[in-house]
Amino acid sequence: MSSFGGFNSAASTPGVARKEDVMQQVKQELALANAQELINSINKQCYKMCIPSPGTSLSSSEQASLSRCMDKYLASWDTVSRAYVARVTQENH
Amino acid sequence: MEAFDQATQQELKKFVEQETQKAQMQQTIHEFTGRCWESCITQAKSNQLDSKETACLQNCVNRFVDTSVFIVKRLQNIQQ
Repeated sequence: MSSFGGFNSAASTPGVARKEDVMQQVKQELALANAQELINSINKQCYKMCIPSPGTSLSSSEQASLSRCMDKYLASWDTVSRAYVARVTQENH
Repeated sequence: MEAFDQATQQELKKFVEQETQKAQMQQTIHEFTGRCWESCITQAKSNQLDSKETACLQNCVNRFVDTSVFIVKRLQNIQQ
């Protein structure tokens, strides 16, 4: 089948190379979906936190707040991820 | 997937299953992060989490899992 997003491998060793291509593409698409989800969450939460009354443009203090909020959200994702993985690992024993 | 032999098809199936599981785990973490951010983080005066916020996030994750376990147990008790 040739319909994995129209993916074409030019110099393909049949079987071997194309399998790697499919895997690579699955990984890339999931990574993209994950990044989009994260960006949407940051957008929503940091807009709420940093832009309580929207003006005619983003002020420099709003931009500074967005930057801090974004760093903090990423750190929160990391903390939550570790806590969740630890808990799941513990529950399964 | 006729282009692939049987063994490769099996391998790809397993790979996709594993990746799907990873993606579901990440989805859950996104949901927890959103929920726990809302209950733990009220301002961004610094770009780092302080120790209180970190503890709150960790507690949030664990209490949410506890809640889920509690509800399932209680439902089982009611059924008996």
